[in-house]
Amino acid sequence: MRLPPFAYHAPDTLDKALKIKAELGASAPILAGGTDLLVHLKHRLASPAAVISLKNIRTLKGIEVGADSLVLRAGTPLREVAAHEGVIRNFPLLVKAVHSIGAVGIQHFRGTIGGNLCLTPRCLFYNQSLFWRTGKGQCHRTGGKDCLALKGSESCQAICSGDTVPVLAALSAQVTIASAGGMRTAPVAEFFTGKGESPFNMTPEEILTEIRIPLPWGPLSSSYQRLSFRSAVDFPLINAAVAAILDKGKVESFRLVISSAGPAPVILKELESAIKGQKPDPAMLQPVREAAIKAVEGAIIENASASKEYRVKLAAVAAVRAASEALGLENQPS
Amino acid sequence: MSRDEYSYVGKSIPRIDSRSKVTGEALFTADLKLPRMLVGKILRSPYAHAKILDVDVSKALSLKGVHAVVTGKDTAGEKWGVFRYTRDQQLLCVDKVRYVGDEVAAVAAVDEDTALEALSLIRVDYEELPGVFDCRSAIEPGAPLVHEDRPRNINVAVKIDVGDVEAGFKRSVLIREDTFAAEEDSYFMTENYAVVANPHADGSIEVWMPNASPHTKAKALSNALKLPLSQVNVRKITIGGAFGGRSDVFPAEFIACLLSLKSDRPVKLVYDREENSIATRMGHAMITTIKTGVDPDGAVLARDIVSYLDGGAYSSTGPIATSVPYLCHEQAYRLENVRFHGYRIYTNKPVRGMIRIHGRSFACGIDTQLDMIADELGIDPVAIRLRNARRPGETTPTGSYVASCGMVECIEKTAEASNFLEKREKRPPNRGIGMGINSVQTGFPLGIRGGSQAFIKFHEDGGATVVSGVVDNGQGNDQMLVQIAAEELGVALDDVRLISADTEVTPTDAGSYSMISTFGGGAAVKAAAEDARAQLFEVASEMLEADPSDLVARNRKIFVRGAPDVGIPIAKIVRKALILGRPIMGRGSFAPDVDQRREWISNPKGQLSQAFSFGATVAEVDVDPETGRVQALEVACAQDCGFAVNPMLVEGQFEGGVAMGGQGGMLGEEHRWHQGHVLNPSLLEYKIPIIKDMPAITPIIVETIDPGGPYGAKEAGMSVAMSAAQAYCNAVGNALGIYFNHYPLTPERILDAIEHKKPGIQTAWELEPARIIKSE
Amino acid sequence: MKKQLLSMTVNGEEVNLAVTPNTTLLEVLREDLGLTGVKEGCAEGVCGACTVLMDGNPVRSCLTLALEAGGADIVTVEGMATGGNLHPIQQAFIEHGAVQCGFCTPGMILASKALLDRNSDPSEDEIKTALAGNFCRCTGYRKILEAVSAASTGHTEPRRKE
Repeated sequence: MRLPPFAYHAPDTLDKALKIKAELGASAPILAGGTDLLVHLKHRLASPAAVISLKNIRTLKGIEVGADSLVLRAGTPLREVAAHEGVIRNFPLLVKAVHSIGAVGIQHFRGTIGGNLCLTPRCLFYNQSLFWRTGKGQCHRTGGKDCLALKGSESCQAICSGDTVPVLAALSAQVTIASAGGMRTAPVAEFFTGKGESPFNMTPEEILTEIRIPLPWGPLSSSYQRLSFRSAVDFPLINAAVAAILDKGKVESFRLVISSAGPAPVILKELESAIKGQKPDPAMLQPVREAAIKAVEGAIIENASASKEYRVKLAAVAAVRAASEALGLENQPS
Repeated sequence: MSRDEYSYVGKSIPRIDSRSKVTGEALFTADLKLPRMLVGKILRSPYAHAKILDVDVSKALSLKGVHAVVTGKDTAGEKWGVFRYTRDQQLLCVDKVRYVGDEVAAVAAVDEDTALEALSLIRVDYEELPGVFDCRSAIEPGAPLVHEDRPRNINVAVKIDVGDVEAGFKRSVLIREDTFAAEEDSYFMTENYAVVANPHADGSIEVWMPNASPHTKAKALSNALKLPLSQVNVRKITIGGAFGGRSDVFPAEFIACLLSLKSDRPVKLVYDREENSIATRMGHAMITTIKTGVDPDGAVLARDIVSYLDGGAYSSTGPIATSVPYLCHEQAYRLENVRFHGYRIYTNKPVRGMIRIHGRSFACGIDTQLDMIADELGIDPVAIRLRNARRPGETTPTGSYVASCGMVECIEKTAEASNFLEKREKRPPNRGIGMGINSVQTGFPLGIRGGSQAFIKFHEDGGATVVSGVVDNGQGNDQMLVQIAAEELGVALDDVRLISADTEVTPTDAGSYSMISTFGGGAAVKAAAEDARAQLFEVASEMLEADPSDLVARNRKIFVRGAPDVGIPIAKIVRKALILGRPIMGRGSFAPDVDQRREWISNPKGQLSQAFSFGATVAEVDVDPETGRVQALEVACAQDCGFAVNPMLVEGQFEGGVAMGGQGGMLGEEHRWHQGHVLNPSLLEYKIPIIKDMPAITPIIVETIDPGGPYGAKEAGMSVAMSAAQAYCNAVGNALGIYFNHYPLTPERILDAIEHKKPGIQTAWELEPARIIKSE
Repeated sequence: MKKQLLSMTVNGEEVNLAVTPNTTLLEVLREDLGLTGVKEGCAEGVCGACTVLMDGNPVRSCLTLALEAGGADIVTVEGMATGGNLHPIQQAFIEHGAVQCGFCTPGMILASKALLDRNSDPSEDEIKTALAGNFCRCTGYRKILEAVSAASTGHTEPRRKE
C-alpha cells in the first residue's frame, strides 16, 4: 500500500530536529519506530509535508538508572526496555507491559517506548482506510464536527491504547518534552488531554525526549493486567496497572490506573486514600471493582472491537486482578 | 494392495513445491512483472445502496500516465452468475451499486500513484437509497429491494422433503425445537487477490490470478469478453490459500482484461487487504431453526430445519452454499424423515460464497441440540452420536449411496485418544470437553467440467511430464499428482515433471473447490500413468519375451514379477518405442459416478458425490468465567479420508482445519458491521488464530479405502474443519453448562451467557425462529 | 518529490539506489531489487509476511521506510541459502511439511532465524512467542513448530519420523 509523498529529515542532533519542528510543526510528525505512524500515513489519516526521523539522534536512545530515578530515552527500542537489568529489577510490571505490545519477535525491534506512550488513540471508525471513511463522512479527527461512534459527542473519544500508559502513570513517571525554546517536564498523568483529536499536552513544535520513572521509595508491589482477544498482535481491550508500596504488612501508597478505555488513562484517585495505611484485605477488592466501573462507564463508548458493556466489565476484572496481585490477595476469597 | 507395497503413495514425502517456497523463488500473482506492465486500480462504491446517476471519467482520462479507464459503459451491463438462473452481478455497475465495495470504474496507469490519483479524479454522482442489512428485515414486506425483480429479497429457496416428517414426530418421545445463529466469517487467506492480464497481437489474452479452477475462470472470461475459449489462457501461478474464497469469478479479472485490451498493455491489479475482504467473497451469516424428534434411545426419527442465509448483494454460489450445510448433515447422520427449507436472502452487504466451515449455525446447531437431547435422555454424547452416525452401504435422504464410511471409527478413535468420557465425567470447574462430527462431499455434479483428464509424455531419458488441469491452492495437489504418477510409472519422484492448471495446455478439471482433486484429478493422472505403463509393458514384453501382465514397473525399470535384477531401464524402453513408431503417450480420464440430473434447486435428489469424507473432533477447553476468554488445551481430530496419499500433508490439512474451524471459527472469527460497512476488514481486527493460542493437536487418519477413489482416497481435511467448530462449541458449552446458540463464541458472548445462565436444558439465548416463507 | 540516495547491504551485496522518501523497504526490495520473496499480506504490520532481517533483527518491511534502512544489513529469504545449500531452517520447513501455500513461509523462516540466532535451543513457548507475529492460515502452526524445533540445536535428529 502506497504512502503519500513527504520529505524525509534525519537530523543527527536533537537541536537540529527541534529546529525543523519549530519550522514545520504539525506538518512534520516524528518518525520513531514507524509502526504506528506509517499505518496512519497509508490510510491517509495524515499527509504530512515531511517526517522527522529519530534514527540518527543517539542522545534519544538508551536507559540510565540514576540515584532517584530511571530514565528511558524516548527513542529506545521496546526490546531494550524489556531486557534492561535496571528495568527488570525495579519495574517488573513495565517489562510485562512491554512484552504485551504487538508481537515480541517483531514490533519490539522497531517500536520505541516513546512511540508506545504517544500511540495515536484508536477508534474503529477512524483507523480505517481512506476508502472506508469516504462513505461515512468526517469525524472530529478528520476535519468534521461530529463523532461517528458517538453522535453528538463534543470531542473525539478514541482510545488511548498504549500498553505502557497505565504502568507509567501508576509509577508516577514524568515526561520530558523539548522544544527549540527549552525543556519542560510533566507527569505522565497530565500528558493526556482526554481529547482524541489532540490527545497529548504537547505543542506541534515539541518532541518527547525522555520518560523518567522515580525509583520506589519502599518495597514496590505491582501488577499489570491487560485483556485482549489474542495473546499477541492485539491492542488491549482494557488494561490496568497498580503500583503500591507495601511495607511491614501495610499499604504505604497505592495507585491504580485503568487505560484503553477512553482518550486518556483514568487514575482511581479516591482509592488511594482509602487503601493507604491499611493492611491488604480482600474486602478492598469490592470498592476497587465499583470504583473501576464508575471511572470507565463515562469514558467507554462503542468504538472498539468489543462492546461498551463488555469493556466496562473487563475494566472491573482488570482492576480487581491488578489490585489483587499487587496486594498479594490472589488466593484469598474476596 | 497394502500400503507397504507402494513406493510413493501412502508415504509422507516432502512437497515438490516446498523448495521454491522456502527460497522465495515461488511466484505469486502480485510478484509477476511484465514489460510495459501497467497498474490497475478499481473505483468502488462507498455506499451500500445507491443509484448511479452519472460517472464522469474525463479528468482521469486526461491525467498524464493514464492509459485506460473503464466503466459500466464498456461492459454494457454484462452480468456474471455461477448458474444461468443466477446471473445478477454486473461486472461493472451500470445502474446502481448494491454494497460498499461494488465495482464502478477502473483505471490503468503507469504506476500506482498515478492510478490512485486517476481514481480520485473520477466523479460519480450517486443517489443514496435505503439499504437492508440483515435477513429478517430484508424479507419484511415493503423492505427496500436489492434487486427489483426479486420480491422480499429472496435470492434462492431450496426445499428438500424426504419421508414423512410429521409421522416421525408423532412417534418421537422427545421433540426439541431450537434456533441457532452465526455471524459472517471470512477466509483471510494470506495472499491478497491479484490479477495480471496480458493481451497478445494474435487476439489471445493470458491471465494469472489465484483461483480454485482455472478452467471455470477461463470460461467465464471467454463469455464476458466474447473471446473464443482457446484464446483466454489462464496460467498456472502459486496460490496463497483459498478455503473456498477463490472459487467464484470476480469482476476484477474481467476488469483487468478489459483494461489490458483497451490499453494494449499488460495490466496488474493487486487488491489490498480490505479489498480482499469485501470484494472477493465472505461466509454467510446464518440463522437456523432445528426441530428434532427422537426415540427413547436418542435415534433421530424426524427433523425439520429452516435456514436463512444472509447472501449479500449477489448470488455467487448461492444455490450450492444454501444446500451444502444441510447436505453435510444428512451425510453425517442417518435420517429417514427430514425436511429442509433454505433461503438465501439478498442484503446490501458484500457477496457471500462457499467457505470451509459450511454454515456454522447449522453444523453447530445440530450438534448442540444433539447434546441437549442426550442430556435430557441421560445418554452420553458419544453414545448418541454412535446411535445416529452414518454407516457404509447406506443411502442419504436425498439419494446418495455411501460406499465407504468410517464415521464410527472416527468417533471411537477421537473419544479414545482424548479420554473423552472420563474427562467429561471428572472435570475441574470451567473446563469442558466436547465432540463434533460431520461429513463433506468429494465433488459436486458440475456437468461438463465435473471430471478430469490427464496426459503423460516421456522424455528420452525416462523422465515423464504429467499434464493435468488440477490446481494447487496450497494444499499440496501438485505433490499428490506427482506421487501418484511416480507410483504408477515406476520412476523416481524427481523424474516426474508436472504441468498443471494452465488452460491453454491442460485438459479440464473440476477445480479444487469441490474437494475432488485427489479423487478426480488424481484418478485421471493414475489412469494416464496406467495407460503409459501399459504401453511401456507392450514394448518391454517384446524385449523381455514376457507376457505384459507379468511385468512390473519400479525403480526406473521394467522387469518380470519376481525378477527385478534382469529388468530393462524405462529410458531404454522409451527410446525403443520411438524407434518402433509407438511413442509412449499416456492418457487418462475420470468422470464422477454422480447423477447428472441432480440440480441444487429444481431437483435435489440423486447421487450427489461419488464419495464422502467423515470426521470427528474432540476439543478440551478452559474458560475464564470472569472474561469469557477460552483457552483450548487439546484437540484430537480424526477423518476418514479413504486413503492418505501423503499422511504428512493430510495431517497438515487436519491441523489447519482445527485452526480455521475450531480455534478461529468458533472462538472469534466474525465480521462486525455498522450498517453496510464492515468494521473489521483487516487482519488486525478480524481475529484469525496465532501460533501462541493454538492447542496441542492429535491428528488421526482413518482409512476406509473407498472403492471409487485412487488407492481408495477421497476428500481430506474439510470434515475436520467442520467438526472442529462443533467440538469447540460443545466443549465451551460443557465447561459452563450452557447450550450456546449464537456463534462464534466470542468472550463477550460467553460472558453474556454466563451472566444470564438459564436453568434446565435450553439454549443460552432466545432467538426468533427462522420460519418457512410463504410465497405471495 | 526529490529522490534521496540509499546505500545498504542486501543479502551480502552492497546496494546503492535513489528512492523517494515515501518508499517502504518492502517496495524497494520487491520492485527495485526483484526480491519478491518479501510478501505484502496486510500492509499494516500485523501479518508478518513482509518480515526481513535488519541488522539481524526481524522487522516489518511494510512499515519501515527504505531510507531508515540506510547503512543497514538486510537479509531476505533469498539470502538464506548459501552456495546452493539450503539453510537448516529452510530444510526443516520442507521436511516437516511446514509449508502449505507458502505465502507466510519467507517471513516465518526469517522470524525463526532471528530467534535461533539468538537462542539456538528455544523451548516450545519461546518459539511460539517469537513467531506470534507471523500469521499462517493453512497449517494450524503445528508443523511450523515442529520444523523450528527440529532446526534448533537441541535436536540432533532433524528428519521427521515416518
